[in-house]
Order: sequence, then structure tokens, then C-alpha cells
Amino acid sequence: MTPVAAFAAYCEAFAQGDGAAMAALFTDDGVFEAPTLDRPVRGRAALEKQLRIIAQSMRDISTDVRIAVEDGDKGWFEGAFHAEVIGTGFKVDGSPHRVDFRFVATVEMRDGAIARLVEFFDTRPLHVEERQRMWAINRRSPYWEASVAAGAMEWSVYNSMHFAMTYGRMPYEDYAELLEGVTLWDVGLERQTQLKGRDAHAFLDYLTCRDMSTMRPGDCRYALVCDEAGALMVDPVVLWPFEDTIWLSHGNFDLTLWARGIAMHGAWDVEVCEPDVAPLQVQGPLSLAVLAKICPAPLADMKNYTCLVTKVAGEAAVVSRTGWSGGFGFEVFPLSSARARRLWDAILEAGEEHAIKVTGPIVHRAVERGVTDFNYYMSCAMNPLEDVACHLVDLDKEADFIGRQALRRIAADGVKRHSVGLVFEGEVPRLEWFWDLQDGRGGHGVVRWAVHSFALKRSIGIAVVDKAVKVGDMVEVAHPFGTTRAEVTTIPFVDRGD
Amino acid sequence: MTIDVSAGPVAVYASALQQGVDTLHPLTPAAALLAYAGAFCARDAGFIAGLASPTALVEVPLLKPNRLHGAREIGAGHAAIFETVAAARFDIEAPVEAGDHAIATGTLAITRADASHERHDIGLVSELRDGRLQRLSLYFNARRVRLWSDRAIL
Repeated sequence: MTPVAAFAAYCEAFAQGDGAAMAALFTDDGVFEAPTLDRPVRGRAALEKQLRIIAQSMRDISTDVRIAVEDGDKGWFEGAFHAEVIGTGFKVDGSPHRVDFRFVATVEMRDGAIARLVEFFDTRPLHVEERQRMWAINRRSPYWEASVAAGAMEWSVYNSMHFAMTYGRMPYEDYAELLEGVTLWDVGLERQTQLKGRDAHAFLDYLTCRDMSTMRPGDCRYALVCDEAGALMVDPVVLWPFEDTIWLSHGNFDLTLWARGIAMHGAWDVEVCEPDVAPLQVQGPLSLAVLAKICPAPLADMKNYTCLVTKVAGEAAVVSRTGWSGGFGFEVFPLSSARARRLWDAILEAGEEHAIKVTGPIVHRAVERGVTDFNYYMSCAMNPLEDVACHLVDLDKEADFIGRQALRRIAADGVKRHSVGLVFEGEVPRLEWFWDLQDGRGGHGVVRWAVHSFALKRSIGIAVVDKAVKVGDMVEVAHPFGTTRAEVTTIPFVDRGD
Repeated sequence: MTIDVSAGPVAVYASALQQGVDTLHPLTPAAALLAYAGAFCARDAGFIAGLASPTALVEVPLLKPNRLHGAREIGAGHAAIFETVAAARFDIEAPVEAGDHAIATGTLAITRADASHERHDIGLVSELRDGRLQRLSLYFNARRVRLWSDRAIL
């Protein structure tokens, strides 16, 4: 194959998203270099994975080669690339998120296959030009500088902390890494409400509407916390790392303030505080291979939703088999922020051989798996019996808990709403606030989550709707760019896949 | 005029300069590409403006705007670059030609006026029309690099 023919075949396979076909054009030790990559990709297996991920991050791909020159085993090309990014939910004006750019490329052939393909182009116009600037009104995690160095571009606010959301890559690149490789995520914003003392376990049971009585040291549990009126407030993951210490690792809600107030006015022998513990998530099928290099604990033997106390890269830490991915992974809780950055760097170094990627929350996968996140401040006045995790509510558990009487009344009157999945008939924009939903028969609801599903190749959502809205019903969802029909379905949308 | 394109950017520029910008034409695409790169290294905006046809286009990633049209804009744009660039060096392979076009790849090393350094893997394309430089496109990743001019050129 000549260089010109090889490059044409490469462009054709790229447009089809066919990683195997692209990789087959290369020699066994072929190399691909492009400005969007952190490092050159070497070898056919790595090429197949990387080229597939890039190509499948986009659709409507075309390449116009304007100049093609070859001299022996080398080819030079100038052309224009056109594509639309999948999964970003349009630009704010509703137009597609396009990546159109011109490039120069060179191809070096050996024995009729591509030995080296190098692309030259400017990535500056492809994404926002610089990272979002910050105001000094929120806390930083100890990994702030590290996340900036890793290319964080966009932040949200969570527990009064800056929350790195995106890193300037296309959504599928991060999604694929989570499913096939390993990711590192700064979740220092996920705060711990620490319960310590003789009554810590009993106090935990009082705070949550799930039966926690069978929980033991080393266990982790997902739980729901509601107020005295039965309004859902937050859905923490509870860890029991030390005999006398329980953590409620919580989302965007001041659970510590709530728990301290209750403890202050009760007879509980419990201290409630927020310790200086800023966790990290190491997620994906290769997360074990990465952590096992720097952690002496038997991580491979850990069951899902368990935790242990150990050292990671020599730093005292709690490690749990939990994470916001709905798949395989770990969370690492260094016991002090003082040397947490060292731990971050050690994980990155250990993950180098697996091309670990620093990412934000991979919402596309979380929604596919029905993994959500709840906070009181944007609650839709939901109660736990309406939530995806309503099966965890135990109204008859032995211990009393906050909100039991209210929830019993709600249950006796009949729960009015339930959480369902939605499969949209078209693409929907990024959900920046909840969307109204109607079923055409008077039933309505609120869409709380909406993303592109890379697994299902269409947009999906999670809504809380009137009980009359059933699986299989068609509903209409009003969003900022119009109305899109959706079919009501069950949650989760996909299996774990591990 | 004959230019030895195997001599590299600076030598090609020097040779062309010695004989006068006005005597350069007609050029080959490869000679135009190398002469541009050599003039860039010499920080000679006037030469670059003289190299271009009246309707020429020069595209430079680290400039605002990226696209300079016509000799006047091309000269002004490069003058703005050279105010902030203390030294530049192109290391590029011999250009290959296809009709009116030439392509070359290599590296561009820059020392800024503030003594900071940057190095880019680059692609360069030249296009001739009627024997004069009609288009010069410079390709490299300018992300996270400060612009070569902190003001708009036009």
C-alpha cells in the first residue's frame, strides 16, 4: 500500500469509527501522534483502542484531503477535518458542538503498512480557550493545583468547594477510559460527617431511613437521609472504617451541621464533626492494578461496599470498594490533607503504564447505571419513597429514625410519585435545570437527569413522575430548545458490564 | 533566480535577500516556504510582506486574528509577532512539492522577549499563484501558549 492509499484508508476507517480497521493499517509497532493526545500511541492494540475512542467520540465525520504528496515510503497531506462531538448536549445556543479544523499529516510506511502517522493542528479553537476563572468564596480540595495541572476547564460548586467537572476532552474519551482503563477523580468535595463515640452506630441508625443495625466495622452502605417531614435531604455512602468511627460520605448538603444539631439536643454519646479527609476515586477495570502497586492491603479480596484502613504510597488512608461509576473501582480517603497531594501524584505515577486519565464525574455512565446524587437544596420536594433507591427505606426497622412518622403517613396515603427512566426519541441539550414532563393524560413529572448514553447510542434521563405514568408510556419533555418525546422505562439502563 | 532549497530556511532567505526581494519571483513552492521560514528566523517582516502576492493569505495559530490577508496585514502581523519574539529557529525537513504547493514538517523553537522558551512540532504549507506566495499556513498546537501578540493586529 502506498502512503496516499494508506492515508485514504485511514480516513475512511476513522469516519466509520472502526478501530480495528484503523489499527490494521499500522505495523505491529506502529506509532500515532496528534496534539490531542498526552503521549504517542504505540503498538497495534493501543492504536485500536485509542483510535476507536477518538473516532467514536464524534459523528458525521468527514475528511477532505486537499494536498497529497508521496515520495517513496513517506506521504504528506494537508486537509480539513469535520465532525460533531457526541454527548456534550449542544452549545448554549442549541447549535451542534462541532470540531472542524485543518491539519497537516505525515505518514511513514514500512512493508506496506503505516509505521508512523503524525498529525499537526491547533487544538486551541476546538475547546474553550482557557479554564474557568474562580472566585475565592469556596473551598479548594487539596488536589486543586493537581487538577488544574491535569487540564481541568470547568468547575461547579459542591459542599462549598470547587468541583472540577471537565478536562477539555470529548465526553466519550472519559467514558471509555472509565469502562476500559482507569480514571482518577478529585472528590475532595465529598465531605465526611464523622460520628465517633459509644452511640455512633445507634445515632447513624437514627439519622437514616435504611436499616443500618446489621452494619459492622469494615462495611459500607448507601443510605438515604430525610428530615422530620419526610423530605429527602441527601444520600450518603456510609463507611465504618474504625471501631469507634463512622463516616457518612455525603453529597451536596451540610449533613454535618444537621447531625450536630440533632446530637446537641439529644442524649447521644456521640461526637459529630467534619474531619480533614478529602477522598479520591480510582475507578475502572484497571484501578486494582494501579492501586495494588502502591497499597499493601489485599485489595483484590475486597468485596463491593467494604472498606479497610491501610497505607497508600506510604500515607495512612482508608480504601473502600465504592465510587460514583456504578462499576468497579475504589475510593481512597487519606487521613489528612497535609500529604494528600503526594498520594495523588503516587497514584498518577502508578497509573502511568495504564495511561490513567484524570477526569471529573462521568455523568453519562452514572445515569446509565442509575447512579444519581441527591441534595435538599434542589429536591423537587421528593421523599425517599419516590427515589430510585426507595427499596432501601425500612419503615419498620427496629430503631426509630428521623422522618419515620411522616413517611408512614405518606405510605398510608399512597405514594404519589415514583422515579423512572426515560429513553428520548432525539438528542437533548445539557440539563442545566429540571425539565417538565407531561404524559398527555394529565400525568406529569420532572426530569432530574438527562445525558447521551454511549451504550444505547441515544439520550436517556431519570425523572420523578406521577404514579399513573407507567413503564412503556410515551411522554413529552419540554426543554429549552423544544419538546422531545420519550418512552418511560426502568432503571438502570445497562448492566454493570464487569 | 535559482534558490538551492537544500540549503535550509536561513540560507534560502539570505540568498533571496542578497539578490533583493523584488527579484525573487518567480519562486518554487519549496523556495517560498523556506524563504518565509528563514525570514521568520531573521524577524524580517518587510521581507515576508514582499514575498507575498497582493491577495496572499498567511495563517499563524498564535496570532489574533490567525489569518492575515494581503501584504499590508501580513507585514503588520509579523511585525507584531517580532516585537515579542527575541529569536526563532525552524528545523524542518526538505519540503516536498505537488504542483503549486509545498509541505514540510519539523519544529519551531521560539525565545520570547521575556526570555521564556517554547517549542512546537509544526507543519508548513506554501501555495503559489503566478509565481508568488499566495498562501502560507503554519500548523501547530497553540493551546496553553500565550499569544505572540497580546493585542489584535487589525
